[in-house]
Amino acid sequence: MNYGVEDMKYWNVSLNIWRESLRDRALIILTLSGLSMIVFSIVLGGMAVGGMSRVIQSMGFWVLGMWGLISSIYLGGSIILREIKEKTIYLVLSRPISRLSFLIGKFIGILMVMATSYSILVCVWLIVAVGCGVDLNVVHYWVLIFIFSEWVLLAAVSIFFACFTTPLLHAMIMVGFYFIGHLSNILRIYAANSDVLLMKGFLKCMYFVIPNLEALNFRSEAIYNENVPFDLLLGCVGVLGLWVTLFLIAGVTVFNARRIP
Amino acid sequence: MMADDIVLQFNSVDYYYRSGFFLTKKKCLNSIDLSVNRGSVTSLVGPNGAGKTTTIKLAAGLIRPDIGDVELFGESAELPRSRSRMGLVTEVQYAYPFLMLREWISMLCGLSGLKGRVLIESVDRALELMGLVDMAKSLMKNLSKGQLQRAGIAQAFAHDPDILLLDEPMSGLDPYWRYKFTKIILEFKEKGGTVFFSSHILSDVEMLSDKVVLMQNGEVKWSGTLDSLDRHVQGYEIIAKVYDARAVGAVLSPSLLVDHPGGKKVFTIDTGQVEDVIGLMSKGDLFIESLVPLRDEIERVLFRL
Repeated sequence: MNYGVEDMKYWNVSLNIWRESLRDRALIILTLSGLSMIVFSIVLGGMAVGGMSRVIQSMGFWVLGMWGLISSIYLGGSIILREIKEKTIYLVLSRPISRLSFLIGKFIGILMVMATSYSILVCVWLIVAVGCGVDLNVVHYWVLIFIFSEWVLLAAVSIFFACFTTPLLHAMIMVGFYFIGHLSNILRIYAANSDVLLMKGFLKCMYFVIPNLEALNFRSEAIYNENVPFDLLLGCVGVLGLWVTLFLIAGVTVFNARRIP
Repeated sequence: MMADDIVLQFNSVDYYYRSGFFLTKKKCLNSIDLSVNRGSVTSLVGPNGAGKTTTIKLAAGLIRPDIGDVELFGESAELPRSRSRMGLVTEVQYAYPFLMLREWISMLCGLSGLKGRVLIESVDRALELMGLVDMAKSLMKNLSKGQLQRAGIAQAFAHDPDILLLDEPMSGLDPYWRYKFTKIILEFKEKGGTVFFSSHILSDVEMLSDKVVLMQNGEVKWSGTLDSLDRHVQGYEIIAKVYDARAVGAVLSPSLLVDHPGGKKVFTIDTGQVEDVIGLMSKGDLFIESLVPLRDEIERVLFRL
């Protein structure tokens, strides 16, 4: 018998998260509501005289971004915290699988669910955009890649916080993380303008601790058809990879030390 | 170090749980020393809150002791590889609601390292063993309590483990499946399997166990074989043919004599009446066909300790 094989065990966890989530009505409704919003942008675009193209792009990008936040809160909150609260983790961890493999399996599983939902949303958005005559350029595709990259980062952050918080706190932290991440540059400006030394230090610390999500945002460049240097895009991918790795390592460290009730 | 025939060993294990806002430590298990031999059935008994489930969780490597260590097959129970030959049944089945039964068992077998054809066959065998073939494509959330419990047992057997850790395995099972499960456990033991289980149902403990561990307030109060328990004889149950009803009635109250198939009578006597009944037999007033001593109930003996 083939015992003790650690390789690919996380795949069993990931695959079943994906299967289970596809049957979860809440996620189906979430995706359908995102689709409705994208389709609704046609109506809003029609109301904005001469601005159909911009409304469809802005609203589409906004929906894609926000739905990443909502998905990461729901999946992180339900998939890890529910596992511990409802004790489904017992039978999984009683098998020869390390906590590292378990958490990596969870992360990949969440990514698989997110990728499915994202693909559907993006396909519909592309159909709407092309149908409404939006002039798509290369930067649009980079934007779509970076929005999903943000989803990946949010999934890693969600898993990290799910290892030690309650569902409510997890949701609040995730919302705070998302909005502060997008307002990160303001933190830097406030820090530079502040006269209070303590506040200056605190804002600078926040600026460095929370990933700058706005640095991954090339939406206005896509809408206004501006070029984005390739080396900047590559740099963003590198920084993103580092943040994801860092949050996963932190998550595994916390989860390894965590006592299961 | 563990002796060769010991598969599970607790060495002076203490376990604390944290409660309250300041996560104050409270002792849950105190200096647990016990060992489980290969091919034996060892049961944990004790009142609620005695620490039985915590002991099972420690054996399964789900939690780690604060002091001491737990060894499974000679290695720390926390190490994933030591758990590859272990099957666990929890008291309540914590299953993923949106997975099908087959998917759930396949996932758990996959985590135990089974793949491909072996995995499919193992899952089929486990489903058949617990009479769940028809439910294989049902979502876990749609299974009844008894079916869930059987599913829990099926997953524990599916990867052909060497040791089973069972926490109240009979809870939720109907009488037929309790009987069947008892047989399955005895067959597993006959094949050399080891069982470590906790139960409130002492008749099951009596039927299955080679060794009993009595726990109370997080401590092992007593452990040993059931034979070594001092179980007083309270009286005797006798099946006899009565030839002279008047003579027998003079010694035993006629209301005690209950009809038994074959024209016999069945009755119970206390230990002080043994000589009177033997006297009746020697005079030919009755013929004793069966005499069974009535011993203390196991509950009474265990909780008197």
